[in-house]
Amino acid sequence: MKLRLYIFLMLLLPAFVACKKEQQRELPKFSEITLSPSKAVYALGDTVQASITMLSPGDPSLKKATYWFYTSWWGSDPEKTADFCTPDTIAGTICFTSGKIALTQAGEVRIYFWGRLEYPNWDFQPIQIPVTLNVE
Amino acid sequence: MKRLFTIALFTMLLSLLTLQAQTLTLNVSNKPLKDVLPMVEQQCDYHFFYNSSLQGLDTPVTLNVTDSPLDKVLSKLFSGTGIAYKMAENKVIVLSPEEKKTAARTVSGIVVDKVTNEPVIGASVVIKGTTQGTVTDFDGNFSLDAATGQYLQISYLGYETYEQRVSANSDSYRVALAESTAQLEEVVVVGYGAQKKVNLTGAVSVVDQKDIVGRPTPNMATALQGADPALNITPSAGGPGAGYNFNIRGAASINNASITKPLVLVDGVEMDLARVNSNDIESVSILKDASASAIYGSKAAAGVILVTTKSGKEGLAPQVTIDAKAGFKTETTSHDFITSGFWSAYISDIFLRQHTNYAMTTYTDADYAELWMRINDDTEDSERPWVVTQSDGSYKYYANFDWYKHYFKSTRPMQDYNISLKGGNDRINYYVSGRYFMEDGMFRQNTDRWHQFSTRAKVNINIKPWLHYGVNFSFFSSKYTYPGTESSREVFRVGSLHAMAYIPATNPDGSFVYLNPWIYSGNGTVGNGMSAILLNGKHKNVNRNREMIIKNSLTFDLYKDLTLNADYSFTWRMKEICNRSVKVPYSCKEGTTDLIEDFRSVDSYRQQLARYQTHNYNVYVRWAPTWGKHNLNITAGYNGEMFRYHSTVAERMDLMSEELSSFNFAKGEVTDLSESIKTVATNGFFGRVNYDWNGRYLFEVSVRADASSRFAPGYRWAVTPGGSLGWRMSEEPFWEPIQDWWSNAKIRFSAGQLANQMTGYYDYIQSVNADGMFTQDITLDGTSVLSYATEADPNAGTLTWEKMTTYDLGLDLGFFNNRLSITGDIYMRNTEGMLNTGSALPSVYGATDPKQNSANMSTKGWEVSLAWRDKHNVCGKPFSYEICGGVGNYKTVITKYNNPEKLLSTYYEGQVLGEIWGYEIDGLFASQQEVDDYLAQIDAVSSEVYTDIIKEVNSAAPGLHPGDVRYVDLNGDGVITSGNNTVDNPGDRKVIGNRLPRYNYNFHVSADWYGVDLGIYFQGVGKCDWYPNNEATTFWGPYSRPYQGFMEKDFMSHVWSEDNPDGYFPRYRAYEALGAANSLGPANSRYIQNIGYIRLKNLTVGYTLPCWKKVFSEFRIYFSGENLWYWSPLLRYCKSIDPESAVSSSQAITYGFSKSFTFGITATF
Repeated sequence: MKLRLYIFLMLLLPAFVACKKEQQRELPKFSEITLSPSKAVYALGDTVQASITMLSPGDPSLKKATYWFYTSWWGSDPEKTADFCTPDTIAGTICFTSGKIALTQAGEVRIYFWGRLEYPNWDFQPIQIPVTLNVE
Repeated sequence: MKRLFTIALFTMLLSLLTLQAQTLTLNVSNKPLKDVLPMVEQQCDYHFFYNSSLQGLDTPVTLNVTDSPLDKVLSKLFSGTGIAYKMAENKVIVLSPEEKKTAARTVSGIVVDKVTNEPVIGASVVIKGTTQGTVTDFDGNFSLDAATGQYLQISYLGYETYEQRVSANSDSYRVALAESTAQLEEVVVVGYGAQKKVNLTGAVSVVDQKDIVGRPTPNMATALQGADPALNITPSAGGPGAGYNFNIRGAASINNASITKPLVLVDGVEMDLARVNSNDIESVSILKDASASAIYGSKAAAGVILVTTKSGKEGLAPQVTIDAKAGFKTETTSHDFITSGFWSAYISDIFLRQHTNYAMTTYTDADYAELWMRINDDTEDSERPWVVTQSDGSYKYYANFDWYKHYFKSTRPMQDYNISLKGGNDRINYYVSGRYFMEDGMFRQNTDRWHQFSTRAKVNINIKPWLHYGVNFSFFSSKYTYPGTESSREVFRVGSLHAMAYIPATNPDGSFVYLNPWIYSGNGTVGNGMSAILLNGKHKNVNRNREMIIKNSLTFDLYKDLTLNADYSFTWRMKEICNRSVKVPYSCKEGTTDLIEDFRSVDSYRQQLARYQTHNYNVYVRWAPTWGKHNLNITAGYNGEMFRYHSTVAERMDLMSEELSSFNFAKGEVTDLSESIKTVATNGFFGRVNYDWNGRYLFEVSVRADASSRFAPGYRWAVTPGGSLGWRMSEEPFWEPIQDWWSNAKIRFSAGQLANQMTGYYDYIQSVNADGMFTQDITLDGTSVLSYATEADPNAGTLTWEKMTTYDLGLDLGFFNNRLSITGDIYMRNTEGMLNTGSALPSVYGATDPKQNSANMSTKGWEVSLAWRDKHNVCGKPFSYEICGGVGNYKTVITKYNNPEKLLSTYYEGQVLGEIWGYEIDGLFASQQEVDDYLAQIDAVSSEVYTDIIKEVNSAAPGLHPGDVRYVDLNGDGVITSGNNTVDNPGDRKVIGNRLPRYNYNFHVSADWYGVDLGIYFQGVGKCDWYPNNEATTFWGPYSRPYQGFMEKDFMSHVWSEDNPDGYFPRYRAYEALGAANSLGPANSRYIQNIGYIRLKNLTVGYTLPCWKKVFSEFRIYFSGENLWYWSPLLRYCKSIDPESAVSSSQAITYGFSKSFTFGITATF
């Protein structure tokens, strides 16, 4: 009985089997976001400036890269758009600095550093690095 | 009858109650049994009947019961006495010695052929009623454990099954199996009768009912697909109630394919395969050549499929079979489409920018950043809403919306319940069945649903020994309810237009999205309004089909071997389509609501009602005498048919309620009110003579004369003769030395003519069109409207039948006692007098040239089928298996057609039916140097295929570039054109493929071992070419329309770029496939697709439970999967189109084809 049940189940097996795998590309590495001025707690209405440093460039086949800063409260604000930034090379180090960001939302908020990296054959990869602030 | 039934039931209940009512009180201790029996008799109406010398009567018994039922008392009384009791009629209890159960012991034996005494190898030896058994070894010996009284059931293919009782006195048996006459006697249903299969001289194939019954298919058309290589069945679409196109050995005519379908007769009555319950099927015969079909005359021009349903049998106790299965369906193809807002906007923008130098969307870099930040948001993140309300209240969209999932469900349930009852005695036999089938459709909003109910009742009564009456009644009812527009299946195409992933279906306030202002043209109608219509849910549609068929037949046995048959059948069918649509609201600005202004969004109710009635009469005699070795069979008779079609269509606007759909609530304009009535009558006389001498030399001749009201008097009659010869070589004396291994050999040849009536109902009469009486679309003096009628173009009054002459040469072979069987046929069919435009008349004629019987074509083909059936012993248990396969091919050539210039836009003499003319592309330009070299030789500006690339002045990069397709200048004239579109001057085109399916094949394996059964059924098409239509948007993606939403996720990986020089598709550029002036529009050798396929049509695994034998004669559980897997070369570049959908549609955008997974039980008791 067990043998027959086993054979019955084994015969069913091929109808339900499938598998898949993907491959990864080496992306640029970045430091953490640094805020200026740096505070433990910010006050509503304060202004900050964010910066980040590229630690390694990643896959050299990169065709185009676009970077910007963004905040967690701009999403529903039609007036606020991505703060695009171009890299500055200081003493051989590639840095990205945001414009001045007014903290207009209280609570635990985030500032993001975003990147869109365009590799050959429409292989686009994202960079997303957040930092969390407390605003009172 | 009713009274008899009541009395019988009452009597039966009474006897049961009597037995139950008799109670006894006994108190005996160690008293001999024979002394207790009189005590029992005293307390009840029963008397014991036994032999006084019966052993065990002196057994002392002890019993103490009070008011105990008689049956319980008897059970206790005889327990352990060695005496068995049986309650007989007249209240007598018969006592007999109890058959002693003995322990199983090893019994052995040998199985031999009764005539030759040769051992039979591999014969199955099973203990009856169990799954225990073995098979004989190479010397015919067997050995197994069995107990006295059990029966050994010995069987082997080609032999009669033999049963041997295991006696107490013997442990060894010699079993002589007699050759089965069943195979020799196997009869096949043919026109107006049946014939022994071995004596067939026509091309007839039989589909085994076990290949059909139990499969999770909605109807028989699906179940028959691939059953025979000559039978081409192509679903016209997926989804509930989808129709089928089918033919036998290819199209019989170039004219109306729906008329040239094979004739399907179910128990002798014409019926649609889609309305036949496959569980009712006893056998299916496919009559493939004219000789076999000729007796059916005008309707059999494209071949005949004879379906015989199950019947009751004499001596069969009432038998109930229940088959219930349930499961789910899912699509056969992948629909892993792009659901990222970023990519949908990005791709449409870059494609359109290349074509017209501006983007599809008006999105800025900042908008793209918004889309990018949401790229991994499968659901809306509170930090990054998908819809942002602008300061002016308008909405801006940054969604990752899965439009396919929004419209369609990935899985849908189905249920199928069947019950049948059959039985009979020497006077009457009956078969009654019922079925309920239900499946959900794909639509996610207000899911479409298909309900189907069918029943069949078949009763045969022997009124007198010489008079037999039969009645066969069937009823079918289906109801399909679906949302959206009348042709809601358009959602598969138009629903995807402007339905880009960055746009969601609803706004934050729940209003429906319809207009998208964020595109270059200002507004894009999202999904052409289909999404809003479906979400609104007020559009409702119902399709109902009802069909009732009743056939009464009488058979008179007039004299020995002479019978007279008469039958009358009436078919009534009704088709009703009701469509309700309403005005649909939408919003593109917060706080505002508008109504969609589109023909799909109107307040109307439409009803179409069609009724069909057919009366069919048959009267024929059959005389089948035998004189010694001479066998004769003569059939002759009359067939008449009257058909009436009546349809009405009504539509009215502005209903008072969105919920109530009735003309009683409509107060607006009547936009349609029309009626159509058509009748046809045919009369036919037929005759057939079969003769064979000793089953060795076979001869058949048949003739039919038909008259049809579709033709003018004087042109109505057609006489179609047919004949065939056969020689069973294996019956000759000289064959005896090889008979052991070459068991059967027959060669046969047939020739015959068939005719069809491919015209309309009244094509020989010049008609008057009265549409203008209603539409009144002509005004006089700008004020008064006119009612008018128009006269149709003149017709040729001499129209008559198209005629097909078929020749077939066949070979039937059997080897190793017919374990291996091979059947092969080659055939030729010439169709003459096909209707088409006749001789061209001068332009002063002023009307369309009338049709004439002026075109001919010829089809040549072949089919081969092989089957191997055998039994072996596996792990000590019998293992039977069957491997079958078949393949067939044909080619049709137009041999006469009124196209002296041989224009390629229509048929021409010498044309291979289905051929595709196209250009040759030898690759994509890899560099600018290659482009320059090409342009040095080819005038691209004058080349039709580069018109759009060269002349689209707004393009970002006009002219040829690396990545563009390179057309070959086949005729060397320095320009790529279609010439003058004739065979003699096709320009740079040639035949690049053929759209008709070639090399139809099937492959079937079934096995049965130890209660486990397995069936695997593959079906496929070896070669079939398809050039995707301009609107085949899921294949072309943005090369067709840059704003279509269903695009495969890996689509861009096939697009050429400098990074991807081996890309399949050319440089990205919108609209390149949309139109003959664009580079991918005309058919060409690079993008023509081979949609041949192999499909795992069915996989069934079942297990017959060895338990519950006392209740069920069979109890089986099973899994059955349909369309579980397929492979096609098309998969390389397109995974979302099922190749079968492309066979019947050049767009291949249709209701998804489905695979099903079902679990079921079959119980018989």
